[in-house]
Amino acid sequence: MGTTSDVSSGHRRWSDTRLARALLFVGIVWSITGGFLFLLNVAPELAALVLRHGWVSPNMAVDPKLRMEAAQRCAEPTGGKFAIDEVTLQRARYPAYQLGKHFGTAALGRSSEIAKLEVAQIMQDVKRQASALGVPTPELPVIRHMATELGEFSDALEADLQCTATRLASRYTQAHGEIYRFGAVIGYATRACVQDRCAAFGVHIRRYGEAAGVPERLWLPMTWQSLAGVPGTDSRDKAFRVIRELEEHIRTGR
Amino acid sequence: MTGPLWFHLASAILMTAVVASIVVTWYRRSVTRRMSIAGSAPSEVDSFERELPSWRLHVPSNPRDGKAGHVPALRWRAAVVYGLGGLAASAVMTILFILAFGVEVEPIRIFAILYAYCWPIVPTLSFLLGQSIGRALLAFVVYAAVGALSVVILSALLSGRADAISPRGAVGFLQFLALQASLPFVIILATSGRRIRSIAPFALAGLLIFSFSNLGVGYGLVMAFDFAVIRDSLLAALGAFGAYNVWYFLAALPTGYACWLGLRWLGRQYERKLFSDAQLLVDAWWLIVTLVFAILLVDKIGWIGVPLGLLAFAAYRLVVAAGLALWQPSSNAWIDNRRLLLLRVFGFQRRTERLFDSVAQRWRWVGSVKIIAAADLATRLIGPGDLISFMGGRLRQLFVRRDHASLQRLGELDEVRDPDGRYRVNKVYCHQDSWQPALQALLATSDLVLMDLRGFSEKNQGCLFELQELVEQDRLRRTVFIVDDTTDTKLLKATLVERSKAVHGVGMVTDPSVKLISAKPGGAGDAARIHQALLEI
Repeated sequence: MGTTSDVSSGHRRWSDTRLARALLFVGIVWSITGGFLFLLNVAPELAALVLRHGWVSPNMAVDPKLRMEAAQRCAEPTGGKFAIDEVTLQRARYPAYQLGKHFGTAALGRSSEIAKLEVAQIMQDVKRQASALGVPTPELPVIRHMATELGEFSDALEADLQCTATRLASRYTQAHGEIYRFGAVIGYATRACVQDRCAAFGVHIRRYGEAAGVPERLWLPMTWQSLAGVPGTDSRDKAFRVIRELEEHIRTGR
Repeated sequence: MTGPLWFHLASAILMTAVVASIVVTWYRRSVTRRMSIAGSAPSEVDSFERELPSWRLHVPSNPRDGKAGHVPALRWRAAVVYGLGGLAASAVMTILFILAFGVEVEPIRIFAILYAYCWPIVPTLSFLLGQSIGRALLAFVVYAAVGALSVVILSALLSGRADAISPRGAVGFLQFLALQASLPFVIILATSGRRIRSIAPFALAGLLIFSFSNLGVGYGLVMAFDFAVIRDSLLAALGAFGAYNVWYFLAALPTGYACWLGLRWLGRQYERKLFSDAQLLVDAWWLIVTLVFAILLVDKIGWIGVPLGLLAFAAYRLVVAAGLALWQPSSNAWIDNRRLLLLRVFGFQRRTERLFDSVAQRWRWVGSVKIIAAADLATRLIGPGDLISFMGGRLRQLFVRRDHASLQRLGELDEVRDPDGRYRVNKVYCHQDSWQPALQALLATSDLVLMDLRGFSEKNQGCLFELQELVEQDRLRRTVFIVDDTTDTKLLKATLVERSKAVHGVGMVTDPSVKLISAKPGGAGDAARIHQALLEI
């Protein structure tokens, strides 16, 4: 048997002091917190990774109830749809995209609390474009918390409170509604993309890009962790190059 | 909406499995280290040595009827009360499900939903009654089959047509059962492994509070970011990632302290015998089931689903508490205690664990169990009280030393039934220099001894001492020895004969009352035979 002794010698043991116990407590609590934060940090990263890469459907990232409710709320009486030729449909794609993009840019401008006048001017454009397309003008969503603004904005797009996307889908095609949403995300993401932080919007870009029928090669760089693989002098140049090519395709169909 | 709730529930469960494993490993190492050191000062030893001989005059309680006839009644009581508790929870869940999901009220549907929500009763009763996992799974299959069959028959009866018998209802029932039971069932399995089972419910309780508190902490951060001053200063000082993590680390201290106070409170309730370890475990299971149900409700009716869903747990606990309080067994059955001391050859962890699970746990319906704690049974023996002491840095205080206070503690072991009718396991932690007198004291206050001598040889000096003490305290006739091919039976016989001659002047060679039970090498042995042999003494 061992020869060590646990015999008390009259002195208080270090491990019995309040300080030692407090340190033990902090150690245990912070170890558990560390484990918890590991899960909290890793789980969303993993989810975003598999969604961005399209390993699972990006539709899983949104609440399906929002779109179902929007479809019910915005349902038009039969006869709302009128025949439109292919040329007109193609021509309406770009305005639908622009409508969304301007709307997204305005939403970003308002949430960052800058250039209120500029936001108002953009919303005037939005109103004009919506009117030209014959759909309701979208209103800027009320963002309740700065920390969750992206989630709230994407929920507002899904909820389609003014029925803009649903009307585009019913008057033109389903893809037009998705192009509008795609444009809104691009408008909202532009500032982040310029700072090479596009990946935060990767899931939504993939979701709406796929639904709108935009070729993957055009939007895929915006779902990457970095725009390093895109030709260009800096991230701003790279981001605008990707967006330009996207818009060119939507405008011309090529 | 329910995403964060699922995440925090899953986090708590995952963390429980990890934390419980770490704690058990840490505890085992600490116990092993403390066992190998001397724990008493010479001055303390003197008074201890003076008092100990008086213990040997302590006559064990009179042998009982030997049949432990009250045990079936006590087990029946636990089964009925917990069955009713489960039924109450299921009834609440059924009502809430029908209301929240707008299910059409038809007798057959109500029966199917109610029966499906009763599923946790099966693992609850299987565990409380000490069934093996195999039998518990079989019981669950039977339960599901009976449910499916009942749905088919009831459908036909209610429609009044024999040709209405169709397997469609049974398939629907089984699908519903799978949907409702699969997730909590997997969670229960994950947190109920024998290795962590003794502390998993305790750890889960603390981590559920901690994890769901973090939901509030996260929301607090979201709110704080709405204030430009806080947001800008946090981001400037720590960056987004740093601010996020530091926020949680700081908030963890008050949250952790609240959890610690909660666990200490729970530990005190356990020490006050308001519930047993088994009760705590099945309560944790029901809490998991009702939490999962509550989150399903939230998806349908919003946050009010959480308190409403937890009403089912409250109903279960209320009925169980009321049932156990109102249904009092006869006083003879309640106080009858055949105190068993379990001795073994150290160093065979798996085998000892199996012996403990199959014999000692079962014995708890008959009487209390005493055991000298060691690393080989750490995963089975650590209880809420030990966990609180250990995590609070007070493991040393659990150890018996050769002083008056320790001697007194040995005389005040828990010999009272828990509310569910089972006795507790009294584990005695001993230092290198205190285990022998502790054993003498334990022998003096035990009615029966079970000694596992598989693997016994002359190397086991501790066992030789224990055998000598059995003779000296005249306990051979009240001892069951488990032996196998690895037992040095010649040495056993020689030790007992030699000591008997020295003490009583006679040998025990022809004494038929020494009970030897041969068990398979390395196995748990025939638990039923061992149990019966103990009862027959």
